[in-house]
Amino acid sequence: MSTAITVKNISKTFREDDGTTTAALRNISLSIKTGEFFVILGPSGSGKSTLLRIMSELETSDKGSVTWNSVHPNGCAFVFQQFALLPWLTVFENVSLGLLSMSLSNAEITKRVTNRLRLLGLQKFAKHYPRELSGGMKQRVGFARALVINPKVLFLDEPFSELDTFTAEALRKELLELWKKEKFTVIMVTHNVDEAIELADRVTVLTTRPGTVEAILPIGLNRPRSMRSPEVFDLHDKITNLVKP
Amino acid sequence: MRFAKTYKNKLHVGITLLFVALPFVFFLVFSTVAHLSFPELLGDLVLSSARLLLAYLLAATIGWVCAVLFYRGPLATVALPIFDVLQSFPTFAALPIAVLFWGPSETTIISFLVITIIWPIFFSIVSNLTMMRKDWQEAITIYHLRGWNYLQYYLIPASRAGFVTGSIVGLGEGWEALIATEIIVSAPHGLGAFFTSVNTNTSVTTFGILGFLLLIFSVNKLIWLPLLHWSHKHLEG
Ligand SMILES: Nc1ncnc2c1ncn2[C@@H]1O[C@H](COP(=O)(O)OP(=O)(O)OP(=O)(O)O)[C@@H](O)[C@H]1O
Ligand SMILES: [Mg+2]
Repeated sequence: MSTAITVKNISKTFREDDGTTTAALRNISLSIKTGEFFVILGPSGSGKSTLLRIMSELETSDKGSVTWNSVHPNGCAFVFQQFALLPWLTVFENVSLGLLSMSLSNAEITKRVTNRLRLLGLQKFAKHYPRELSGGMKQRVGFARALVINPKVLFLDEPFSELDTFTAEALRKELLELWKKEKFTVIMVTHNVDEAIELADRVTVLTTRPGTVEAILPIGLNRPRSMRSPEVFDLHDKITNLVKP
Repeated sequence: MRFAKTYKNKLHVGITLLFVALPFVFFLVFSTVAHLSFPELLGDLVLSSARLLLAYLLAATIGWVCAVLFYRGPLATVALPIFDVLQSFPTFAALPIAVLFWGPSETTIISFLVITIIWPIFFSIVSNLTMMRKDWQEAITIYHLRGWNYLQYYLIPASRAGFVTGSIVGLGEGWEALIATEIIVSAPHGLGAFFTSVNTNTSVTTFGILGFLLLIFSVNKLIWLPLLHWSHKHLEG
């Protein structure tokens, strides 16, 4: 399997105007394989979001490097914890955002957006505004907007943490289906151990302030995974012991 | 269809028409009772309104462009404090200088109005844009929104609420400054000239001001309040 992204010795410290500093990440090295479902797990303040934002080039690191191998950073998409839908745009317009810079014809954009809305069960909501949707529907729009560009790499920053458990469960299942079918690479941040076990090929556990790599564990279970099997319970205990808030 | 959406029922349409007609009916009755020429009064009103409108359009354009150029980035740290100082400069002190350059002309009145109206618009848009959620801007970056698309899908809608709020404040100050300027530079026509000509007659002055307030109230009710409501509705996530 080839490598999609290599992260080498990344460090990041935030400096406030009043002189206080926060060491968010120290010496992070990872290598993400093409097509894998990679999960970054850690307690609040372990720098998970910062790491994801450095990998997706939304933020720069102080030290170290991020290398994109088989793919180009332009081919990446991002799903945000709080959806980040633009409130003045309709669902259709929000989903089309990533296509606007691609010099496609209007007809092509309409076709791709419509198709993506249908795949995520949003076709009836195309003309709605985000404020008219439930949290679960908003995040579906977030996923539609990300997947409509056929990303090579999909970054997810706690995409399910604002949703109720039932909605989150359903959306995780759909994400797995789409991932299996469309074969993009997923790099997901979460603080939920079960979520990591349910979804990941590999999980990296981060420590807090500064975030460092505590461990990287492969989850060698077949999919679909039953969350009530003894192996899952063992894994749960093992990972929970690694997480130090 | 749109008409039906904007106006809930016949009563609503009626009240709206009333707001349009009321100031003019008032001025008509007022001019008759006070033995003034209605066309002349209307002419003064139209001229002053035109000055204000022109100044507003200039201030709105310049204010918006400056706001989107300077609200963030390295330019902001230098530019915003400078604008802050400029804003606190008492504009009426600039009036004699403007008169010195252009005399008591339209240019003087308009340019003076522009520097009065522009500040609320500018600062309101700047504060509006700096309050935009960080993840919205990150989405814009991730999905490579640039150029015309960036304007159309982000900057223009994101600055709408600040633009409307700033316009309301700016025009409020603008009316005041307009009449004061017209009086100070002794412009031969316009509301300033009207108030100067009747200033010995207290009741005519009072009713003139009343009619004028009625007009401002109607314009606010008809144009600015709906715009304010609309612009804020589109900021709700
Ligand atoms: N822009 C910033 N300026 C200053 N400090 C920051 C900034 N972004 C993050 N930090 C700090 O860096 C540390 C890591 O933050 P980060 O958001 O990456 O953590 P996280 O693991 O995603 O936490 P959470 O689970 O709460 O989302 C925190 O202590 C945070 O306060
Ligand atoms: Mg986070």
